[in-house]
Amino acid sequence: MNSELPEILQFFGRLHTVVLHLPIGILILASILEMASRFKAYEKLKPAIPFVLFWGMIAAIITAGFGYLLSQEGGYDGDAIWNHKWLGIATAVVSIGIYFFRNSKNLYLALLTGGVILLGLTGHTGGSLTHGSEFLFEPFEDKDSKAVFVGNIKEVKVFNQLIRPIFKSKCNSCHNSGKVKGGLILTDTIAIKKGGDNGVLFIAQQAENSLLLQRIHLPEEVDEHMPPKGKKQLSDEEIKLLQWWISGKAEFVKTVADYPSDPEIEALLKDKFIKKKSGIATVKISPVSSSKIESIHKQGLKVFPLGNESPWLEARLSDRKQLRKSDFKTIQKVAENITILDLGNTSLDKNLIQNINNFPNLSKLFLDQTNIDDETFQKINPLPYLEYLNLYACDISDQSIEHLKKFKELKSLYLWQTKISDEGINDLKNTFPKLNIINGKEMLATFANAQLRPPKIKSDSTMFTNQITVNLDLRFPWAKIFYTLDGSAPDSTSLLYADSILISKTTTIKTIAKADGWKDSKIAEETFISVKKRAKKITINTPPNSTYNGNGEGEKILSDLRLGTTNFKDGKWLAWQGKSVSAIMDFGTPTEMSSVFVSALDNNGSWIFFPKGIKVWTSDNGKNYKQVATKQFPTPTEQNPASLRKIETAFEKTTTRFLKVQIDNLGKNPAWHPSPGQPSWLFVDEILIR
Amino acid sequence: MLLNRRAFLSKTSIGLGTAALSSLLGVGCFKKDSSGALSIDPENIKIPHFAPKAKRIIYLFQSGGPSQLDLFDYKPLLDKMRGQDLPESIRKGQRLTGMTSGQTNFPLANSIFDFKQYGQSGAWFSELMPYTAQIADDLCIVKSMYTEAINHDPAITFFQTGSQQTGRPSMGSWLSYGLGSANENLPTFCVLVSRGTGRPDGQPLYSRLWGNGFLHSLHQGVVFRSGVDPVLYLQDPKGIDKVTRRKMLDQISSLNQKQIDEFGDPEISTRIAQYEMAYRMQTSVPEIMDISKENQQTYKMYGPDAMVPGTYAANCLLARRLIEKDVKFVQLYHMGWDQHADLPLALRGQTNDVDQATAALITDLKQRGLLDETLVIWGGEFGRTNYSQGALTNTNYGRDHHPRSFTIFMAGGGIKPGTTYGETDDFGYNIVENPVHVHDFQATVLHLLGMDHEKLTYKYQGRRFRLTDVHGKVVKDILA
Repeated sequence: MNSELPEILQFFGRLHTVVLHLPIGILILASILEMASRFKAYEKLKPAIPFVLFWGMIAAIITAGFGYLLSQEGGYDGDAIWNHKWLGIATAVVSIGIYFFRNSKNLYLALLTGGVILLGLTGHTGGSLTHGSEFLFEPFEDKDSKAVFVGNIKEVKVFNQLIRPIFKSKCNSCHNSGKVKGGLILTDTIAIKKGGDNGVLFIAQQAENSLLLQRIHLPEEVDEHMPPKGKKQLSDEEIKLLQWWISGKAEFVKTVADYPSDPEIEALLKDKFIKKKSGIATVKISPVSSSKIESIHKQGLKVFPLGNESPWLEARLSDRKQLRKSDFKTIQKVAENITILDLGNTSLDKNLIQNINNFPNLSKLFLDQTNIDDETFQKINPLPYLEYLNLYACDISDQSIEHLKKFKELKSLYLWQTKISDEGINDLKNTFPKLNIINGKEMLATFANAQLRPPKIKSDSTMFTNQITVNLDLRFPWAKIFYTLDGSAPDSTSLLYADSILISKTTTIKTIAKADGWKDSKIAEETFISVKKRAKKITINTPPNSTYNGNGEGEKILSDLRLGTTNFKDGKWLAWQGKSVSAIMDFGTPTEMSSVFVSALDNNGSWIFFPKGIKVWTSDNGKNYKQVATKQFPTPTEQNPASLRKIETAFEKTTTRFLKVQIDNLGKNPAWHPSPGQPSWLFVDEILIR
Repeated sequence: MLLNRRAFLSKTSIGLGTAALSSLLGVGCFKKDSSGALSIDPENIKIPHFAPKAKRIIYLFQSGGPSQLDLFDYKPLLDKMRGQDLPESIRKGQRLTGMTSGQTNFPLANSIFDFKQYGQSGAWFSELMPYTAQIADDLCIVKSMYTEAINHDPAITFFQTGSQQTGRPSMGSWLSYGLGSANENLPTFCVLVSRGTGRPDGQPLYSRLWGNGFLHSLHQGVVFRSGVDPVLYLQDPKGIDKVTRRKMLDQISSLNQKQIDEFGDPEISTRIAQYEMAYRMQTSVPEIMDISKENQQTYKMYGPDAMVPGTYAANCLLARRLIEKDVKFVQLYHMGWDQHADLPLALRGQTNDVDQATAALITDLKQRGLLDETLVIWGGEFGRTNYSQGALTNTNYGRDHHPRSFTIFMAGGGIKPGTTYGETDDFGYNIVENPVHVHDFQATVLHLLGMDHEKLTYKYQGRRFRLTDVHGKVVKDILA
């Protein structure tokens, strides 16, 4: 149809929706002038009326003409367009009549009155064409009362109750018998089956080929997408329903029972048809003005709207240790709107409690950590909408059970650290099987086997020359710390730790923490080595890597009795990459010794390995050395967790001044390593003798 | 007079009324009235877009990338295919970090730990999470998280700010901006940091992670440290008493007020508000940090570590104390989850740190009736690979960063408890069901707090910014 119309005329046709406002405005202005000029004050307006009528006539004719052009474009059909067209033409004709008969008094007045009525009718029919016939009166519809609830979702009529409402709300404004965009009508079943200009909408059980679903699923930017961009889009739920309908029988009379069952759809239907609103959701209330809330804020009280779209307020009075009657008075100005009232941890008492009764719409009430007892609690009337009641740490006992039962809508009840007994809770549970009671006791079972942490054994070092102070640290006042110094496992008969322990010979400390109601800690142990003789001077033949040179101290740190940690960057390590090192230790005077400790680090992920071997020489003069021990270690075959080790190499007891220790680097990362063949690291922090 | 552009623009807008301006810019919710008493500033009330499910958040951020395959995402196929190379049909060209890009093969590594199902929901947990497993029915476990970043800092920044590039406001700052404060004595956004025993020398955290970006400085996170000085620069120096401090603040305030009258720069009123907040925090912070009144039962739940300031357990307990005082967003960071090597040992350390305290926190909130208003989130910035970084041995392996799938869990405010959402393939490498992008996660969190992530915007440098950039979809399936 539209191909017959030249583009320029299509353009004018579409201007109809713009120019149509002119005749409405001008002709109404004319009638206002006509009435006003009958009063003395406005008499002088009279000469203007013919001028206004003239332009009103011109505007009406142009509008009608453009409207006709628009109607030729197609997409509109049926009664509605017929009505609108002829009403429009009639308006134009009448406006001509008004202008030319403006001097014949009665006819003129009749035509003017008729013209205004015609304008109204034409405007309304036109509006219905564009926005749908229900547009104007929609705000008055009560949506809740329209909701239908059924006993069984299987009885829901698929087309009438599920599909038709979707078409109605999202499609019918353009696809109705009045406005037939794309030749498609979605208001009656025969027309739905027939489809539109582009063919049928669907074939039952072939959702994947459905034109209807294709159009819905196209990206919104595509012109063919439906509903068109800018119009209200289908919700995910609605799309799911349509898909399910078409995948099923896609017919018009059957019920849900005849369609394939689908858990998602069923849940959705339950929501829609079974879950009746109850409790606070049924209460209708109008929002309070922001000035009212502001006046409450000025008193320093926290009352906030729940959200922009909600008329409900929450009042947070928690932590007020000087709660006053006037506080309640202040928030009572908006009492009906307050649905959450937080009085937790306040000085709420028997004199104040009655104020709660002034808030009829409470759904959530916090009374936790207050001094209210059974007697005080009785003073709260059974609030009809209360769903949440928090009595945590209140002095409430089984005497309050009967009163609690009067709160019929209660869904969550918090009774942790109250005096309510298990029987009392069972009683409540029997009365309200769905009530969620949190008494907290059973949750403690989760933590019944909580274990103490072992005491931390704290000291400056694990090596010392004369003596060392050791502290056992737990930071847990309810526990006792027991320990032994003889290597035996500690228990409650062992030494009780009170103050720091002084150690003067090589000792292993074992310690355990114990407390009533707790699982004993694991045993912690540490060996403290007495080092009587230290090298006066250590020299090494290979300088360490400049990044790991003991914070610049170099070989001096090899006998400072300060051990490094598994954190190789802690500054207490000397390290060599790909290279071995030998150290000459000068004890100043001949010293008795029988073994040497090399304290080293292993952290394979960071290419750090324990040494491959250790060789030991002795000398009396620092020139002639005699080899006294050699030790080789197997190359590791797999990656180990990072660890520290004091590698002891023993030799025959001897008295000597100089000791040379060669520590062999593994050299290259082993074949199994992520970076095989790369030069590996050797980390050493102490070399000591026994 | 010399005026820079910003000051000029602020000055010219004085006609609008500085109060209105500061409200637009989101300066604090509380102000002092003429009598000196503190009252809520009606100009600055923030209302959520819709009634929220959760009023507060505790975000237990596990920094470093916990291994989902050793904690939550049980994959029997890896037991069977242990040591075999990861098939290219699964890897599909996934980029690698510099740490494994040189690796010639990618031996699939099953978990060394035993898995079992817990609760009515039958959620899987490994033996490393015995306490959290006990509260499985309170949790919503999302196994199909994915992110775009592959290295720590971009990935954490992405989670926190919605952008891998630095400079955007943190999630807590967005919420502070959107929801305002509910406690005039404490910051809206508090941060607590702890080091993990699993890898004590792991990645650092940058304070910009809790920064306010282009939002007002009022919205930045305030770090509570362990030790004598929980909030830096808060205590009066020696020799300054309360009266002197008060006088000084009043003087500064009157000078600042003069500046406002002249220039109208809203940042000055923020400054006044911050000084006042700090003054009040001199009392409120010591109260929060004073855990001496907590009873032994509390420590039995949180574990004795909760007595040691600076530990994760102590921070969990502090988080509960802050939430009780209506702080909107408490962000914990626990470091040390970066198990490239020595995973079996290190992960044991990490889970020892967090497992009991996490379960305790959720239980504690539940007992006190706070959980249904508080959203608790536990998770890291990405997951870990299903193949071993470095050699795979009988007792040891490591795992590299894996952005394509990982697990987080949530509990409380508005979340469907006792659910597991999303699924990965049998290799634990790709998501096969219900993927949740970081922006989806952020949109969902905002939704739970009553904010529409598309509407919570801030105009800066000529365009409106969002936490979720131009992405994000609320994951409706996990909402209660």
